[in-house]
Amino acid sequence: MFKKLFFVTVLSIGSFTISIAQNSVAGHTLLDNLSPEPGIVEVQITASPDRLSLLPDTKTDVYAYNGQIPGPLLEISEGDSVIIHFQNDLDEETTIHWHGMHLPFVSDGSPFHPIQPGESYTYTFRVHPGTAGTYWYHPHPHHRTAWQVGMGLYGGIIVRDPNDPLPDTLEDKLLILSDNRFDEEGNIDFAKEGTRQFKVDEMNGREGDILFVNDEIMPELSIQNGEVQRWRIVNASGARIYRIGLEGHTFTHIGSDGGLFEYPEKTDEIILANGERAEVLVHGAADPGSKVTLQALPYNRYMPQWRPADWDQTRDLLTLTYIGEPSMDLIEIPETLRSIPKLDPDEVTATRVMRMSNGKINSKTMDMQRIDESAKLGNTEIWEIKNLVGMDHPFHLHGYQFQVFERNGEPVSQAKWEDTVNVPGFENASFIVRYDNYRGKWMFHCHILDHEDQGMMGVLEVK
Amino acid sequence: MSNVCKGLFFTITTILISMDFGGSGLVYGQTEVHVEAMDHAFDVDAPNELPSGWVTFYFSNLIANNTHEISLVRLPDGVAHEEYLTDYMTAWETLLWEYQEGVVERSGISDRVNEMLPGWAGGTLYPTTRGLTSPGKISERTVFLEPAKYMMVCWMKTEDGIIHIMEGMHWEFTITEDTANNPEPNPESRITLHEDDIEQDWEPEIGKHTFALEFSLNPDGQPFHNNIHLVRMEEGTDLDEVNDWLDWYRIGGLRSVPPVEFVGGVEVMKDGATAYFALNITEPGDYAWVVFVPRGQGVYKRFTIE
Repeated sequence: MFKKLFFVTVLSIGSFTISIAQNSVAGHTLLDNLSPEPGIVEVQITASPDRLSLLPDTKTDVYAYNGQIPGPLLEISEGDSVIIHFQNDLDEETTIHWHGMHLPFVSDGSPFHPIQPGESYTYTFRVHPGTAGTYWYHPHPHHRTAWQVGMGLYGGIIVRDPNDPLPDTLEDKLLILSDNRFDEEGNIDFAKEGTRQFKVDEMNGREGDILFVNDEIMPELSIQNGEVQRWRIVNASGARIYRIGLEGHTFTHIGSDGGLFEYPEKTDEIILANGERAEVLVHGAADPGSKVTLQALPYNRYMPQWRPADWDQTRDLLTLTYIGEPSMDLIEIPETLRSIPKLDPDEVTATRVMRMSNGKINSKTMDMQRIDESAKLGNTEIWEIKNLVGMDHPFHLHGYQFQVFERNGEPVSQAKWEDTVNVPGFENASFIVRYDNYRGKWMFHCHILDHEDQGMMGVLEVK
Repeated sequence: MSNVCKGLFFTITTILISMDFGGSGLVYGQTEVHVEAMDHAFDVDAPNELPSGWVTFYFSNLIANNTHEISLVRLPDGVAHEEYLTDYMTAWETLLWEYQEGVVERSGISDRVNEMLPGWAGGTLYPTTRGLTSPGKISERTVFLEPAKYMMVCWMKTEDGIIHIMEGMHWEFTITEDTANNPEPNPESRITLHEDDIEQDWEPEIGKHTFALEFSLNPDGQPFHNNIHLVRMEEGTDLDEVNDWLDWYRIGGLRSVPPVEFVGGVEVMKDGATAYFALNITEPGDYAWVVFVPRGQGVYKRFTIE
């Protein structure tokens, strides 16, 4: 499974055998697996203040996982047992939330399990069959998530399927999208409380004018004419929603938050809300030497009264350069990628309605002492997410993947596993979910991180 | 219980029966808009297009934690809903910001906002506003609406002084050329606002009550007042303080948290037109009608419900 991407050197140090990843996925350093045991992935992550180059010729004070932005890639496989030793070397409490992963409550990294400065915590979970896909990790302390992610704490996760239906000859690229704002000295710029910009950020979520793909501004990728590449795209931005297009190209959209679709879908654009992931196939179709740009196209996610003046500006993300001779490899993309068992509406025991306004769900802000919703382990339920205001709100549920089955009363095209559903202004979406395997107190919230920090979040207790 | 009352408490869907008689555009049935207040949004159960005629707004504030209102805005021809939220509201929000920051004095408000408002702002009409409704209360208003584009908005302010419209508390709708044949409301009681007195033919008691609000006119033919609010008083409630708080232009005016509980009411911006509203009194106590007088002495009528 790792044959194309992964070469390993084995060293013996004391009583430990340490595997050091010498290769990477699209430039992402892999987290070193400390375990020699097959099926066990044991890694160490430390969050700490650092000073890194995000802008050319400038060092910026940041927060980083293992000294990197994005943090190193966690690459695991279905069936693996994962052990993550986390050390908090920040001056404030934090957590690591394994966004989209189906895991025990105590390993969810939610605000219920803060890790104090100087302390450590070990997250453990098993990777369930059928969950292969693209995920990410980020902090989730109450009221501080936007700040900590904005300072640089986020990283990617790839869960591999030993029987992945796509050819393993496809070049696999992980593109973590983020944006940030800097002052004239190159410091990360957060608006000061009481200023006009602070209120704008509260309403829209904090957007930056500098866009990053992984750790670079406008990086360059290469492709051959005729080649097919598999791109995994993560929206790690606190507020910016990406409408992604590749000039002159059509994507084959093959996967979402929880892994592959049943059927590939051709599309010219992908809309990726905060926290969401997409897997696409990019088909090289241009002459050697030509360059095309992956762009963030204008996307109107804003209330008219707070919409930024430059919202309709197209922003460039990366350059795709055509190199070499045309590829002669014949790539066959299966018509069916996998079978997704549809959750059964006849088993639904309750319907919950979430009414979202800015900063609140059902007119309430987050209270760590309050249980907003209660459900029984194993139950299947419908959640109807209503957006009552004129801007998009991406709704994220922890712990369980769900299937959106309806938008504005219309059925969706195919069942997909998702953990985040974007609901545009004055629209609604309904999903069906089954609370499998794990009891606990699970957060649900808007994934515009500033909204989450304001308390646009609640607690579902599964007993 | 009257039909209106049943509608207020038990009807959760919009009843809109449309019958086409050879293209007459005549619509039969009640036109109802059910609105649930949230902090800070309206959850509306109604289509975005309604026939012209009498429309009843049922306003429930059972979930939100703040006092809210319904202001109805009729937009000038050719002005889009969005322009109200951008050009128009940006001017007011900027004004409020500058005013709260001390950049603009109260005496300079008109000049400053007129500098910023779009040219069409003068054509904006507010058929009715206010009807302040506190958490736990339900109120109602029936208003005759002519074909045009409208906004339903809440002009209240948050604790930090942001207008609820800016927070997202607005809903856009259009009154079409179709005509609803709903009859004019026939309320149980009438209230007439005189210069220094509130005249009513109503015996206060617990329950749902419907009112017609009428206005006596000054020698120039203008109404002395244009609004009324029912408040439930606590011991020590100072109605002059309530009157001050009702002044939107004061920095703390119409800003959470209000000094008193509001049960309902209405404000009419169209001179002399009778207004229809309903409210529900659920518990005994000391109450007062409050007629807000800007920068003056409010007019009050106190009463007790056993």
